[in-house]
Formats: sequence, C-alpha cells, structure tokens
Amino acid sequence: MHERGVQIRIWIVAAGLFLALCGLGVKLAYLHLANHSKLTRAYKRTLLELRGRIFDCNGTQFPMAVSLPARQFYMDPQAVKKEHNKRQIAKTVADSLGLKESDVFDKFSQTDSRYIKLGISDNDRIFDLLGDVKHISGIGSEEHVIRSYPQGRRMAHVLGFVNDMGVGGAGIEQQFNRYLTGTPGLIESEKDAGSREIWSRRKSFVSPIAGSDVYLTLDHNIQYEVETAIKEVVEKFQATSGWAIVERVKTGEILAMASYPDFEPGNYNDETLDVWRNNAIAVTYEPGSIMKACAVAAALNEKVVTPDTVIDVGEGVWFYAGKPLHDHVTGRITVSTALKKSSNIACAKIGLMLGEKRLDAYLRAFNFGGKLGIELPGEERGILAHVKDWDKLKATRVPIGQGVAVTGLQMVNAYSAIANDGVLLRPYLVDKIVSSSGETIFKAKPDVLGRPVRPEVARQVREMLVGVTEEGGTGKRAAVPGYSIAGKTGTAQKAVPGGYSSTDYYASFVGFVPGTAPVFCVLVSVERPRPQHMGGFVAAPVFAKIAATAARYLEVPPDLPFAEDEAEPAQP
Amino acid sequence: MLKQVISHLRRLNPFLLACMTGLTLIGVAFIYSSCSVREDPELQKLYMRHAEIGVLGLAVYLAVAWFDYRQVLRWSWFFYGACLVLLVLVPFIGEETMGARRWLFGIQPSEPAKLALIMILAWLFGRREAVRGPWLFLLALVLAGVPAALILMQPDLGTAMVMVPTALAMLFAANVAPRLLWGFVLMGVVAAGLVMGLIYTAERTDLPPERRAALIHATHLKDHQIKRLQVFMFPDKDLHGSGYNRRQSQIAVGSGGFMGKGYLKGEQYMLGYLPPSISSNDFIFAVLAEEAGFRGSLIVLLLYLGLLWPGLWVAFRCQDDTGRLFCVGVVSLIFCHMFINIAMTIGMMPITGLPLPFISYGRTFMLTMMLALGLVQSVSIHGREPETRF
Repeated sequence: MHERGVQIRIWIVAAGLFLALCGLGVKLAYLHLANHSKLTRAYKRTLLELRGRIFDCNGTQFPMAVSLPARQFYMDPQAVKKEHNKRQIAKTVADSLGLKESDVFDKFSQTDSRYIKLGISDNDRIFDLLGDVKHISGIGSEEHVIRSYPQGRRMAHVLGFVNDMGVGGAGIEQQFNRYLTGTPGLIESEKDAGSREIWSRRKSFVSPIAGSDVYLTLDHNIQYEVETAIKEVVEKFQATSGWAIVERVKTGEILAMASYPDFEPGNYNDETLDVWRNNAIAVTYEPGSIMKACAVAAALNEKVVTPDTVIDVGEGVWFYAGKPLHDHVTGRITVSTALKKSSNIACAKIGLMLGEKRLDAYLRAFNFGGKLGIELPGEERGILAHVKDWDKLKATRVPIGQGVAVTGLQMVNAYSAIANDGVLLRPYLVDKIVSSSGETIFKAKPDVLGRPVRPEVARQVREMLVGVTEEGGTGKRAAVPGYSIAGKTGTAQKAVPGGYSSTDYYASFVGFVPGTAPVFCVLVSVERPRPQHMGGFVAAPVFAKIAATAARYLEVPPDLPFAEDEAEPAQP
Repeated sequence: MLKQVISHLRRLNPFLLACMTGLTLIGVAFIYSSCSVREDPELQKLYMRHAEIGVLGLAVYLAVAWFDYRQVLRWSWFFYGACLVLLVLVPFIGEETMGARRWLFGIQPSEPAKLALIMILAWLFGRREAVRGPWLFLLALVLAGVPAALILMQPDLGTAMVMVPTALAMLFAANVAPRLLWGFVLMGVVAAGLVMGLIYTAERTDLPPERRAALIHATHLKDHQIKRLQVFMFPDKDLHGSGYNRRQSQIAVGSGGFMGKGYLKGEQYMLGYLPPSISSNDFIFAVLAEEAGFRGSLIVLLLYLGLLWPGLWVAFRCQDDTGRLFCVGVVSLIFCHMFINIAMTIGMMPITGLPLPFISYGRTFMLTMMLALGLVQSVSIHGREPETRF
C-alpha cells in the first residue's frame, strides 16, 4: 500500500521536474535562437567638425573668426561620490571655469537632473584638473567646438556671431552658415561595459570635414581706424549711434564697415538685439543734403542744367505748394555753388526742373529704394515712394534728402558710382570662399548694376564736390592734407510721427579720395549728436580722419602739394 | 571482498556518475574561461581549486557509496545537530564578506545544512512506526524552519528558499498530511502573489509617493529584494542599476546563438559586461551559454536530466521509504538549484544568488552535492535488498 503510493508520487515528482526542465529548455531556445541583442553593444560617436574660419583681405595672418576644439563641462549630481567634498569640488570647478562657487554648489542639490551645463573651456589643464577622479566626481565633459574671435570686437557687425547650437545668428556667420558649417565625422564600432570603444571592432571611421573659410574684402587695419573714429565721435557728441562704410570705388569692395555701439561676437549675449543690428545696412534714414549730389547729377545728365546755370535763391525763403522752404544762402548762385554751399532752394528748384518722373527714375538708377544685395542678412531697401504717390511737394524735397529714406550703404554706393565715372557697382564684402581642401569655391568679381550718369557728368559732379571741402564750402573740416577731397555734408532732421524732430538730427558726410581720381569712398553718419548737429561739424572731421589714414594705408598718391602753412590762415 | 566489489560495481548507477563527472568537467572548463580575464593570478587558477574539490568529492562520493546509506542516515540527528551548531556560531565568529556572514573556518555551514535536512527528513519519514499525520508535518516544518531561519539571518535568501520546495517535495512523496501540505503550498502562493501584487500596484498606478512607500513597506522585504522583484516584473526599469546583471546575462545567452561564440571567446565577461565577481559562480551559465551556444546549453540540460532521472529511478527501485525519500530530496535539491539558477540567468525568475550544481565555483556546495549524490549512489547499490548487518 505504502510502497505503491510513494512510487506513484515519485513519478509525479519526476513528471513535474521534467515539465519544468522543458519550460527552461524552451525559454533557452527562444533566447538563443532569436538573436535580438546585437544592438545594445553598438557604439556610435559623432566627431565634431570645425567651423570654417573668417579672414580679412590680408589672408590667414589675422583670422577674424576661428573654431577651436574644447570641452563642455557638465554636472551629474547623482554621480558625486560620498567620500568627496562637494564644497571642494565646487571651488575647483568655479575657479577653473570662472563661475561663482556658490552657484556651482547649489547645482549639487538639483538631483533630479543628471546633466547640468557648467561651462566650456578649451584649456587642456582644466580638463585634466576636473578629470581627476581621486578628488572630483560628478563632473563630466564632452566634446564641444567654440567659436573664437581673436580680434575681439573688430568687425563685430559684419562677422555676426554663432549661437549655442553652432549656427550663425547674424552677419557673415549667418549669411554663409552653409559654407562655414562643416560635415561631422562618425565612428561606428562596438563598446565595452564601460562604454569605451573597442578599437579592434571599429567598423567605420569617417573623419569630419571642416567648413570652408570665408575671406572678406574688409581690411582690419582700415576697420580699426574706422571703428575707433566712430566710437570717438559717438561718445564725444553723446550720439545714439554712428556708422561708417569705406568702399573701393573701382570694384565695389567694402574695405570697412563699422557701427557703434558694438558688441563682442564671442559674448554676444552681453548686448541686446538692437546693438547686434548692423546700422550701416539696416538703418533707414532721411539722408538730408548728401542726396543733393545725386539730384544735381541727374539734372546734369538730363542736360536740364549745367554747372554754371544760375538759379535764383531769393531771400532765403521760398514758398512752394503753400509750404516755406528755408535756406541759409541768398541771391543768385550757380549750380556749383548750390552744391558747395548746400543750398536747399536751389536744389529744390533743380528738382522741379527735372520733374518727378525723371527724378524718381534717376534715384532708382542709383539703386535707392532697392536692396543692393550685399552678402549680409538684414539689409534694408530704404523708402522711395512710387512716383504715382508723390504729392506736389515731393519733387522739391526729395532732392534735398527729405521724404526719401536710404541706408548708409546705398548712399556710399551712389557716391562710389559718381566717383567711378557713373558706373554703379554692387558693393560686396566677401572676396572668396576656400574649402578646407584648399579649393576656391567662390571668387567675387566686380558686378556692374548700371550706369546712372555719363562719365563726363560724373566728372562734373566730382569737381563740384571738391568745392565742398574747399574754403567757403560746408565740409571744409573734411579736408585732408595732400589730397583733394570730394564730398558732401548732410544734416537731416530725424523724421518722427507727424513731422520732423527739432532736436534730433542725422549728421552725415560722404565723399571720396582723391577728388580727382577717386580710389575709395567713405560715408560717416551719426545719429542724434549733441549739442552740435551739423554734418560739417560732426561727421566731416571723422571722415577726414578715416580718409587720411586709409589713403596713406592704401598708398594712394597725393594729388595736392602738402601745404600745411597754407591751410593755417583758413582757421579763424 | 573482490566479489563484493564487483557486485557493488554492477549495481552502481553509471548515469549518475557519468553525468556528475561530465558536469564537473564542464564546470572546470568554464571557470577557467570566466576567470581567464581576472588579473589576480590566484583567481586565474580558480579552475584548479574546482578540479581539486571535484577529485576530493569523487573520493568522498565513492567512499560513501560503498557504505550502506541506512547506516549513514542513522546518524542524521548528529549531522543535523552539528550543522545547527555551526549555523548558530556563524553570526558570532563567522567571516563577513560583501555584507553577509556566511563563512566559518572556510566552509559555508548552510550548504551541509541542506543535506542534513534531507537526511533527517528521509530518516524520519522512513521509519516504519512513523505516523504520517499533522504532527509529523509540523515537526518537519520546524526541522526545516530552524536552519532556514538561521540562514535567512546571514542573510542568504536563496539558500533558505531552496529548502522549502525540497522539504515540500519530500513531504509530498511521503504523503505526510496531504491537506496541510496543500494548504501550506496555497498559503505560499497567495503570499507570493500578494507581495508581487503590492509591488506591481506601487509601480504601475499613479499614487502619491508616500502611499507608494507604504505599499512597498507592507511587503516586509529588504530593499535589494524589492528591487530584484521590480526588475523581474519590469525588465526595462533600471537597466544600469539593479536590472543590469539580468540584462547582461540575457544578452550573453542571446548572443551565443546556436553554435556559440567559441570557447574562450565570450565577450560579455571579457569586456566586463558581466561583472567578473559573479561570472564564475552565480552567472556561470551565461558564460557557458554565450561561448557554447544553444548546443552547449542543451547538453548541460540533458546532463542534468541524466542526473535527475536516474536519481528518481534509483528512488523508484529502492526497497524502503528512507532511501526513496532521500533520493527524492536530493533530486529536488539539485533540480531547484539548477532551475532557479538558469531561470534567473535567462530572466525567468528574480535574481537570487544560487550556484549551479557542479558547474559554479563553490567548494562547500560542491562537496555537499557530491556527498549527497554519493548517498544516492549508495541507495542504488544497497537499496534493492534489506539492510545487511555486519
């Protein structure tokens, strides 16, 4: 009885064991034969590429923007070892990354995050210091590329900046982001338990390709002079801002472009959006008297007047369409004198003689009211209303630079056309783009936009403009010893809603050197200078300073004898 | 004398011996493999320690097989008592390693305690005068409970737990108080279900943290045990923390494929995915499965089958209940170890530190298992006839 029962139970136990064993076998077969765990060991690493560099026209000697490999340091509060002193770690980190010790220490309490960015450094010694596992834990680092601007604030508005994601956010960095951005590399391999790559298992290695280098037409030496001068004048006259452009008249190359207040591209976040704006191309303003040369050139080209045509200015007030136009010049004057003395009434009358349609056509031929297509983001087109919408007054106001708004670039380019025998060129500031393999992908060539005036007209206007900086002209402060200077002053009331401000002005001077055989053209505009606001007083000296330095730097042969004692009596 | 030797040898169960030797050799081979990446030269030679204890165990095995198991089992009380004394001593003078106090003079008393339990239960149930009623059941529970509790205090949950199914299998085979037995099993299942349910609820439902903590606390388990259960129920929960070993051992098994990667070519332990401290003992099956593939795993399973099946066959052929029940107990014990170990390696059970018999490195365990199988062999040799007295 007993025996039999025990034996049966043994069989039952045996059957149970066998079934369980079969279950084990099935699961084993499933795991073994359905191979689904290869992927967990895959190792993929992106190799960061370097962004292309930016150089000025002098080539690789003085890079304006370079990318450097660096490390991004971060904190993982959960990985801090008990035996390590958090205070000590915070102090080391803060000291090496330039942070505040208490800020770093506070981050240790954010235990819900395992990745808190601390800072970036390209210093190997800091990497070694923070990687010291004996004393420091919870601090990690990863590859990073930083954008560095070795010349500090130089060319800030032209260069722009690169945002945290490595994408250009302004200027050349934005416009040529596609070229400057390289191609990341990739390692495909397998990793061991410590997430380290197993070299012998490497499947593929694609090395990163650095971005292309952009060579600007700007010259950092001229740029330095221009930036210094602009900064000086803005500070001296407590102005809101100021900008200046230097353009080579024969080619349209921009040699310098500066705006103040400026910013540091490496720390662009220290400043606000309006400081990032490149005023030279993005501020639309009524130019004032500097527009007169364009109107006179148009009238000469249409043979409406000659330089010697006499215009009656009257007693300094002229009523037209029920509105008075004031002038500081009186009597009967020639067109040459009108430009030299900057007569409002004379130029308004020339405008009337030319007629609305022709005036509009010439301004558009000088590319006012349209973009010039400079290789920078944010270029404005200015405001030049369609001729159909002009009121009666407009033809008398546009020639003196009212009721029309321009950008500094348009203005300097129009004067360059006059300097360049009437050939309007497209201004450009990228000379060439060279790929990381040394291949030139792009090379700029002068690009003719049009011929608004005939060469002899351009010459006549140049001669008149030389008069401006001579004795009796409005711009004699723009004179540069040894060079004849052709230029025009401009003082424009700032347009405000409902009319013109009586306190805020744009003081400008635009001209070219030398006046007889121009090499480069310079525009200086200062917004809201105080207490003086006249273009001849505020902007002309800046022009002189820039022109003198640039002419010497560019080795422009002087066309006048250096007669400094002659200039002396002109002072009182 | 020679005649006696020959008659003994004829009754010796060859499968038991062959499979045990085979498994031991496999153990030596894969301990060598898993320790080949260790830096410590002592640890590199761990396979030699395993082989030495295997040879010693074989000698013990043959010696024990020679004697009539009934004479040995008569000393069960003494053996059991000695084990209890050692277990009691462990907390006071034992050596502590990795947060647990399990060692005494270089041996783990918990291992022979398992055998002692089987011996005393077999001896107890096998006596003719025994009434297999509730009192015996309770006595059995106490006999199993006392060492289990002592082992649990070390703490060594796996070893303590493995005693329960072993004792239950013996109680079942002996048909001791069947209603109480099933009631007990039912209670166990309900308790396990309750614990799992609590953990599941705490994990899955959207509870405020303090309620969740209360639920977890209600299981009365230790933190690491709760973690293991959580990992078992939610395999993807903490792949870099407590779920790591399980995940990596699964990868090891899975990456072996059918043919395996080849001997000494396992990557999981070589590259450090499987921590070296566990690859030679609790997780040795992962090393084996990766290097030998499904082929190797199947061979190992068949070897265990070749060990367990003849074990039960011996029990079946035995003439008295003591021998039968002893065999059932030993077979259950080996089976539990094997099953729990492999099941945890491949993710079918929560992780519990139990060695794989004859393959894992563990000398006390190895010697105990060989001693137990020697006694089974003795049952094979002597069990078919009534006890002879010299």
